[in-house]
Amino acid sequence: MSEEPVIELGNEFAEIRVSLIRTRNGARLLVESPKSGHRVALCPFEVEALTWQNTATFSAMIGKPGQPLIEEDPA
Amino acid sequence: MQLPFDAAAVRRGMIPAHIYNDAEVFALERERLFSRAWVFVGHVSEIPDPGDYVVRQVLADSFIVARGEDGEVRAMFNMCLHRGMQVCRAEMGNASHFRCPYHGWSYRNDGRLAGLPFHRDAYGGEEGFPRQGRTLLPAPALDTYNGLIFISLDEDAPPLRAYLGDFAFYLDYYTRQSPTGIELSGPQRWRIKANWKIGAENFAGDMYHTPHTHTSVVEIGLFREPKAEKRKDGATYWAGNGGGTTYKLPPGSLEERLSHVGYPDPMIETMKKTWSRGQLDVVGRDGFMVSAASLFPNLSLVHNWPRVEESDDVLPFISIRTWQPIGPDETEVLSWFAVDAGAPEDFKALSYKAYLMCFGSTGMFEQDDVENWVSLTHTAGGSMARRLQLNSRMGLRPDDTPLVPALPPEEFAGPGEARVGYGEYNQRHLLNRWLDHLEREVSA
Repeated sequence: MSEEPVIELGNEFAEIRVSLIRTRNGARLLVESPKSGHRVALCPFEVEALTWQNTATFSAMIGKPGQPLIEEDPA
Repeated sequence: MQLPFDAAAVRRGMIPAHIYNDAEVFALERERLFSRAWVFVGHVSEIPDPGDYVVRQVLADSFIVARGEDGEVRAMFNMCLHRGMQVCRAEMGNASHFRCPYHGWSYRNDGRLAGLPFHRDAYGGEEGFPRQGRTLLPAPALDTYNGLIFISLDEDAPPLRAYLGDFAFYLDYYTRQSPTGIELSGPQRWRIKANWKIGAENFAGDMYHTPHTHTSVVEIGLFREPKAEKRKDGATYWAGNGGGTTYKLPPGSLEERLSHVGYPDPMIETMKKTWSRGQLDVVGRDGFMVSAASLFPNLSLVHNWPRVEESDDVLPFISIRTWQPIGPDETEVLSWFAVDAGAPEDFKALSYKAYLMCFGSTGMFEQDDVENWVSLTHTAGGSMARRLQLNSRMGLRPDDTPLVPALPPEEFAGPGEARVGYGEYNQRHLLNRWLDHLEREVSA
């Protein structure tokens, strides 16, 4: 398996590590915060959905630090 | 209120020495000068993209100067609305949102309050504490000229362009050599144990110190001109809220004179298309080239053309700097390298080298100057300095008439008042404006 490139980026508020995870049938984008340990693996569709958002979406997410913006629906 | 020094003496060009190191005078400067004047905080080229920001000071007030997601440049008071922590601690960066390190309040990069942790539990949510309409405090006034960003703590400050007045004509030589304008590198930032006014006065008009203070720079051949005495052939000018010094160029056409100071042909062609007739005439017809200058109160510029390689060729550089007051006896210098954004890359590289050799924290001129200013400031803090009025009357006869006439428009195409030779006209102009502010009480 070839080594996937890792992108690290940060500013004074956050440090983040982005890498690709290959699955048998596709790929996900792994976004990790090494400091907090939070991580999310986004499929291409989810990443595309990010491109539809405006700053207000991110403001809402940032406004609830360490928590999800929306609770999961009960099963 | 009676000022704590002899104001009438300042108007005569006799400067009470202690104004260069006096806590009471400094308090007045904070209250009456820096609370009103336009202060340079940066250039748009330092924050070219959405989310780019720099943190800059106006005295003790910290501002986040940021380009929002909408492309607008704003200056926001760097103090969290909650408990007053500095929201941005890094001096520069890129962020869509800022987050206070204390309790985690977050703001969009246009200053709007984005979120409070535990908003519902701690404040009752949006009904209990609406975020709507809450923003980091904007600078009371912000305006730009040629991409130079200024802020004023006075919301009723006159428009920046009116404040600059005819000094804008000269500011263009440094900041508008092409329609693209300049780009900045830096700033280098360091502190000197000297009063802020000394540097501002020096850059405004002190051609007289060059032959003496900077002898060694000439001796080692950093400059092509064999004698620093050449400075007396230059003219000083004062226009609007600023003034500066010039060198006299050898005879020749506009193109030859610009080439003499090291501008390559493509840049000269662009200047010819960019500058006004008057701006071109000061160089091409009258033979004067701008050097150091100051805009009241604490912005200075310098344009010089040292030898940068083992030949007689010279190359020009531009530096912009602020003398940021820390206290009566301490100044933080912010020194930027500026170059026309459209200049050839090899020119930019050599121009940067020229700048570093002369100015900036390691520059040779800088070393020469600062020793004088530190010494002056130290001595001004003693008790004897309260009995001494420094003579700043160069260029004036005892009856206050000028020693040399102002250049007529046929000999100097620039606005304002220009005179050839040594004089302290500009230093007096600067301190007169300083006094205008100090004499004007702040309305309640």
